[in-house]
Amino acid sequence: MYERRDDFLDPFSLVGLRTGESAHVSEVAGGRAMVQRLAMLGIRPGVLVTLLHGPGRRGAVLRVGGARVALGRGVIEHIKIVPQARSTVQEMAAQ
Amino acid sequence: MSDIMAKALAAGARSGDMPVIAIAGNPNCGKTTLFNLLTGARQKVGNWPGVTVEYRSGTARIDGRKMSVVDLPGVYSLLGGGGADQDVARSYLLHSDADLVINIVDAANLERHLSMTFELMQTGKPLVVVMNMVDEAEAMGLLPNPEGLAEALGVPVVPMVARTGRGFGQLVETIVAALREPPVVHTHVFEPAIENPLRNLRAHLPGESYVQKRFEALRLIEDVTEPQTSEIANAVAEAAASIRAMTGEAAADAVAGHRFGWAHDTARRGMGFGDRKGAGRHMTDVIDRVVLSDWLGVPIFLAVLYAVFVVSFSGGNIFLDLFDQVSATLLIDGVGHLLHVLGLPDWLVAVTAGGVGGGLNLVFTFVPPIGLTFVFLALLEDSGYMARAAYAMDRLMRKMGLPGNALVPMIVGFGCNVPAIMGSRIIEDPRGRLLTVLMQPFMSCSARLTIYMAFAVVFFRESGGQVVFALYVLGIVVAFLTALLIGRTAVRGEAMPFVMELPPYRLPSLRSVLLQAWQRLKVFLMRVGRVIAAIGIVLFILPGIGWTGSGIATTDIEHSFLAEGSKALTPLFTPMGIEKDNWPAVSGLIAGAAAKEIVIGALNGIYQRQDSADQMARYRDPDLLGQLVAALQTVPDNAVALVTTFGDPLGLAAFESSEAATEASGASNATLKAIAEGFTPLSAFAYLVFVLLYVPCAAAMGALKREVGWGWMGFSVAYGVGLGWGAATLIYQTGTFAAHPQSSALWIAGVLGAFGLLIVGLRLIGDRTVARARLRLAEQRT
Repeated sequence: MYERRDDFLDPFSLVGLRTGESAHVSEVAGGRAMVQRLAMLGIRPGVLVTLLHGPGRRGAVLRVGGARVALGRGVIEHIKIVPQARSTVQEMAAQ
Repeated sequence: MSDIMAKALAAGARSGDMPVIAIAGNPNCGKTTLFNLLTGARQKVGNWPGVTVEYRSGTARIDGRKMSVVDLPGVYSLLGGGGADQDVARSYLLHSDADLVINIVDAANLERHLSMTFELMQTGKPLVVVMNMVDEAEAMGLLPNPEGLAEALGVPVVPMVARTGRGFGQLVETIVAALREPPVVHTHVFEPAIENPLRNLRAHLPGESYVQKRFEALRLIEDVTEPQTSEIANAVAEAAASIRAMTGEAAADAVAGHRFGWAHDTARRGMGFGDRKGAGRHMTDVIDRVVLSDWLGVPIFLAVLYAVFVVSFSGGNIFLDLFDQVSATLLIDGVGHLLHVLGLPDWLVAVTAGGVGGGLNLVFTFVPPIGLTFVFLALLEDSGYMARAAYAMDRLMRKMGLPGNALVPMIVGFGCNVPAIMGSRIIEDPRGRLLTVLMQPFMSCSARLTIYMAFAVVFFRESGGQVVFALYVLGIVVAFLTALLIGRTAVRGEAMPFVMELPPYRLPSLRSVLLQAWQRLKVFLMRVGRVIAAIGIVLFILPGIGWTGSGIATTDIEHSFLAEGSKALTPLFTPMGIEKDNWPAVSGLIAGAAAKEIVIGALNGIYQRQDSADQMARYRDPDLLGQLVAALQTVPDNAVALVTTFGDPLGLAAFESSEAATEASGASNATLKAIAEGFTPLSAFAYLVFVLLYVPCAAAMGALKREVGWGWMGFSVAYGVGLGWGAATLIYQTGTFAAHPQSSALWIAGVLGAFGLLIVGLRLIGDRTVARARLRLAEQRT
């Protein structure tokens, strides 16, 4: 089972993340359809995501699992994350 | 989706006692590649009944036995939230009697893909899992473990690289074994805290079988579908409360969480982790950094589309004359000669060869550019760029209420509106797709260019290029305004928030690209060819027969039905500057409703009083061989010409010499002279605006009907004609305002008033739709 990582620090929006950084998703807000659509693509609370591109005017591209997912600007604002320590990069590599 | 439809689906797939295999999986995981591998070219592409979701089926010969293979739409989940594609896939899996389901999963992204495998297992259908792209997973440093996955799932797992055919032998063996002895799939049993409330809920649900009811119960608990009756709603609420009490989580979260957890655990058993990091993934990131960048994204996309457009149409032009002349030689002269030799009466020969043959000749003429467009579209899709283009353009297009990829069909529309309308399928969101389809008829297609050219030669010599360019721009502006207008009135809503998977860049396989292009071209030829052949007959007959004193008889064009009809209609066009004597211009418009390519031809015919006698001479003594040789010679000539047109795909440079421009328009000198007499520059421009905006052609109408149904097709036609008439009248009356201010003011006010009424009408339609949706929601709640 995946573990929920919402037990420490305040959740931040994905907008605050920089390219190349990773974080665990803590909350996906927005409409039900949106939340379901994101979950289908693997973006749901507890999951580790890496920012591959952006966040820019268009939005951002995330790596989640083995996939890249592009999200519009209006979507990334609804995704809350728990910032990771820099050691996350090694954790990723080990996964 | 109704059960009746589901049965139609099942019946459609089965023929005789052939076993039926369905392929299911996420988008971009090689599903269609596997389908192509199994079926080769023995494929049928169509629509699932009642929805514009592409239906692909084919025949595979496995172990000497024929089997029917159905390629289900690629979806991320079967439960909910995925539109018509998902409804089709779910309905098929729950209601059809497919003998085997092949679930294709991406080895490099196993966990997410297994979440759908979980859902597939709930349908109880015999299942084989193909673990695809193991090479990419290995390159990423992963160690695929198909045996471990098979053990975890309890069904056979075949490791494959579908693109190269690796593992195909094992797949064939597995399919044969699975059909002989279907693998038993156990629907997953949840922990009692979830399973017991699910069972209670199931008892309240309609449905034919255990799995259908159970699947529906899961969807209700996960809150992806609305309960149909208040009894069911109560049962759902009860089950949800019970799950919440036992697990401490919201019911939807608990069930989904369980499913994702299962996928996570199962993926760990199917995949080991090495220590190497691959380069392929890195390459994609490097390309993406450029292609998706804030500043370069849009220019790169526009450059790519420009290249596609130029190469399709200039490249297509190399072979256009070949296809035109060969098909004309064989279908018109050849068929005419054959029928003549067989001794059929002249009128039958003329109608068959000139009407049907002439119509089909038109269709074949456009095979090279349209075929090339389809090839490039398939290339863009298979390479992975199309998803990037949608992302790059999303922000800009969203401002007009459109999805990012709406621009792709529009550019295609400059070549031909038909593939543009068909190509709008790349847009997932039904609202965005409808708007995009309705925009396409306003894109200036290459056939309209011939008309622009003829008029520009006569009236706008020095500024011909600018006038043609202005017409192109006007088309684009009207297309966007149409999307804005309809998107804000009749089909209100926002463009769906942008969420899209970006597949890794891959070198497209030639075979798959050509197959895709061929399938689409086949649809174009079959559907459009039929319409044009029929209309060709009508158009051939109308100018040749008329009402004489003694009844219907053949007559010269001046007294034909076409002429009489045109004369009767001409007063309608007087406000846009077409005078009574200029009735041939109206004939051109009538012909143009069938195909823009024949407007100039119709004018040629009328102005030159061309009679059918010299056509018959062609049939009596044709020089087929000479014509075919001449057709072949056009290829090298056109190829040389291509080099010069790369920066000028519309051929506007032709305006530098009057002969070249005349030739480009295809109009005879007699026609040009008649045009010069019948129009003023102002009325000519108004006429061209009407030509741009009114119905594109019969083929495009057929495509509209296919994609958005009769209702919206009817709207599109009426809207186009009305808008064209209004715009042309507005232009002409404004231009001649000084001559007759009072009547001009009335016309202008009338046009603007009618446009206002249209907006109000569209708003009312929108209000009604919204009200109906609210009512439905309210009914479900009570």
